[in-house]
Amino acid sequence: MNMRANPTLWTGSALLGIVLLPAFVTALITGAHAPAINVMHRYAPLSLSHPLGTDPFGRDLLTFVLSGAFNSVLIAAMAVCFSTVIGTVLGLIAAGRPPRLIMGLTDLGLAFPPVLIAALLVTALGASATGEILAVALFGLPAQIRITRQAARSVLIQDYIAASRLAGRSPVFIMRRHVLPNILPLLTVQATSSLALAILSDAGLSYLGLGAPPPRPDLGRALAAYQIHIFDHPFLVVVPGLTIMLLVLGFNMAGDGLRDALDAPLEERAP
Amino acid sequence: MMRRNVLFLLFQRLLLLIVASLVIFATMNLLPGDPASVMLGLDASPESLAALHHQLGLDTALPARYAHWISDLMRGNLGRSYVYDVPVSSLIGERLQSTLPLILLAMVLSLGAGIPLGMIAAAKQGKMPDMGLMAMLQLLKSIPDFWLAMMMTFLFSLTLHWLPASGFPGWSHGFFTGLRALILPAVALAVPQAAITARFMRSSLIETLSQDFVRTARAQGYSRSGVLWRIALPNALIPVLTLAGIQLPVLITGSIIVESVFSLPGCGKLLLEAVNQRDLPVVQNLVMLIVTAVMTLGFLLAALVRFLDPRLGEERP
Amino acid sequence: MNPLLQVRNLSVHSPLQPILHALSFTLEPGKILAIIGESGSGKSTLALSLMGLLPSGFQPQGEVRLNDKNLLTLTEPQWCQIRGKTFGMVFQEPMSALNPTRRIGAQIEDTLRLHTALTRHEIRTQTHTLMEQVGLLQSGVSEHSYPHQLSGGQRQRALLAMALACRPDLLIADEFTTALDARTRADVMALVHQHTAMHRMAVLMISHDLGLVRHHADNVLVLKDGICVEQGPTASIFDAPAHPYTQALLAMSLHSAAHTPLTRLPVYTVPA
Repeated sequence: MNMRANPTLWTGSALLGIVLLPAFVTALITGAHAPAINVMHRYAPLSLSHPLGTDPFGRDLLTFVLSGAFNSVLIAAMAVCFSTVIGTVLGLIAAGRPPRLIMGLTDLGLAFPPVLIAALLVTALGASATGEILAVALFGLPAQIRITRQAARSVLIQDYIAASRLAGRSPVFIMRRHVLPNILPLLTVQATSSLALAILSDAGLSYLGLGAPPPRPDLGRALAAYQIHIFDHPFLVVVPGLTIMLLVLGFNMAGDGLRDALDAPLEERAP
Repeated sequence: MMRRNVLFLLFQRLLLLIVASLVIFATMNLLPGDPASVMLGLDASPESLAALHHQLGLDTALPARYAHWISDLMRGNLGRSYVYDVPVSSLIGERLQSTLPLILLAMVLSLGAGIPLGMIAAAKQGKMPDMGLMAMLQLLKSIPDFWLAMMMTFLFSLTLHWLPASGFPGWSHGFFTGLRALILPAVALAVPQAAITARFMRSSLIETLSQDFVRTARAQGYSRSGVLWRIALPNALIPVLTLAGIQLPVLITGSIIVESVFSLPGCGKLLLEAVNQRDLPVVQNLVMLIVTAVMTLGFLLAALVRFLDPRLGEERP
Repeated sequence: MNPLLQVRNLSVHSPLQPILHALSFTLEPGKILAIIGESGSGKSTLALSLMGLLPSGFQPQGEVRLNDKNLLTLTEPQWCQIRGKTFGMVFQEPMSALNPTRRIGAQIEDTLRLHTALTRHEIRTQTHTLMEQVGLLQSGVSEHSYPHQLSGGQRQRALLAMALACRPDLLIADEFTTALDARTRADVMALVHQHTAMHRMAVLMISHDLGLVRHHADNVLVLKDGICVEQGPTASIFDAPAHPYTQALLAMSLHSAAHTPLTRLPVYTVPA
């Protein structure tokens, strides 16, 4: 592993650190709840007590944005966990089978972007964090299955797998002992890049009001609320958007850097 | 061989469409939670609930309801909006006037900018222009499209007054008036996708140029530029077509969000309104329509890719 | 007889290290010269430098004269006129050397289209004749076939048709029979001989296959680490190798299965 000479990985990690460290600290202190509304302090300018000023409800913008970032990353991480675990298991199961089913599943998944899944779920059940996580995770699932399957197949054609089979090892043993450790670097890279996509999806969904409902602060929802203030208080729009972008850029770069470091080639992919 | 291939694809898509319709139907009808009570709120009277049940066809058996829906769809009947009390098809038809050009424009911009940028980066591979371009693309790829839309409105509409900030006047006021309203939304939609296309194009072209058949062509007497334009580029563009098929649903999703930013009266706005008002028939049919459109276009692209690269679907495991 | 190709003191440097050292040899029309040596001895670099297709950063020095024209001073457009017309080249990887998305006929036509002023119809007819000459049509391959539908031998024939289309004075064949079975190899070599006999085409043959070399080459040049250790008529090299390296090489091929390559050669890529 060549971690040292990897500026992409370092830059990505640094960007993530800039946002995530304060976000975690804020979450520890406030529980990532929205700061208190204070009508007396609406649109307060930048000051020591409010480093980024306050929003139309008199809430401290910095605290609000950091809590929102924490919630976004939490939801994205849960969605990626879901799609990675389920996708890896299904991908390994699919590794020994013909590709047609997987192709079909991928095409089906592509036709259901998160917004459509969320629209269906919200109409049927109302808005919820679970629904949002499910929408993001389901969209990431087909790609995860396809990539796992491809990687597993490249391991399965090795000679030592045939030897292991001849020795009477069960498929489950072979998958756990030989295939999984070998594709782990790839899965790590994939998960990191998926986080970037998941954060983007999450922001879009909550902007549309299809994401997790209030009161938990959320960057996408904040943008929707602050949008009308773009001319009089552009700061309110710039800060949450920039935070999302830094997170996405950080995970994208960390993913690219990890790919180089772990030497796990992964195709460029679309969200 | 080719024909059988495309027929298989067609059959597969039809099957998927049926699965998709089942998924949509199931989500809207099987999940816990009564859509009628969601629509009417918690304090609805039992009589009005029963009336709505009847009106939505919720008092018939599920298989019958599904069959009814599909047969209606086949005949082009998309049901009636519960909120507006007009046929869903007329609602959608009206909204397509801005949504369709928006998505088309974004697609053209994404490919039109992404492909040349990727080619430039590939030509300068490893040198400063390539590295600068790649860093810029990495940045653009990470921008949330709706936020980009807001920032562009701030700059180009509110500050510079070049383009309208929101709304869509329709095509009746002239082509350019309509187009002007769609430029900012389309650019906002296209920028992240163009960045993805450019990065993809770059790696595809670099990969193609390292292939043995490029050397064969050079040995035949093709010049450097000849081999780039006539041999490498067509081959490198095939995967980009596949990518375009993946980007299409992303653009449709993005259009829903961007329409919301610019208050464009498009399908996305319609879908959101329908979700908020629990307008069940509109949501169900609009989602089905979008899924059908994505699958159909996906099928056409996949067939085109198979036509252009005859290896696919024959040898590949 | 006037030599067709005259190489004097050819050296090639890669950015990292020298690859070829002061190589000199001549090749006469109608003759077959074989270059033999282990992997990494610089054989493929030699072929690519004769074609002007060295990877970027590789520097050739010395003199390569073709009919009294120094090739190393040619500009890129001048090279493009020679490649495919005066020189034909066949590579070692028949599987990937053909463009998978274009029909065989179109790819063969390319050579003619690039170097002749023939009409479309004439090019079609000539391509058809070529495909017949190399035995493609007889084996059921048509102009409309795609590379993936062809066997390894058929692909090699198609590549040969592309290289021979303009009746080149020199054919450079880099390991081009390695991937073929014995029967196909004999057929393809017979085709090459036809052209050496009929059109006085010279062949520079790079091979690991010493059996093949002994059978077909007129002269042999033994390459070791970019240096020519020995060259001369095939019979004398094989019967009385002077250099210990040549002796070892010959002994090795006698002991091992003579028809399998020692290792695969590195694949060079051409900058476009």
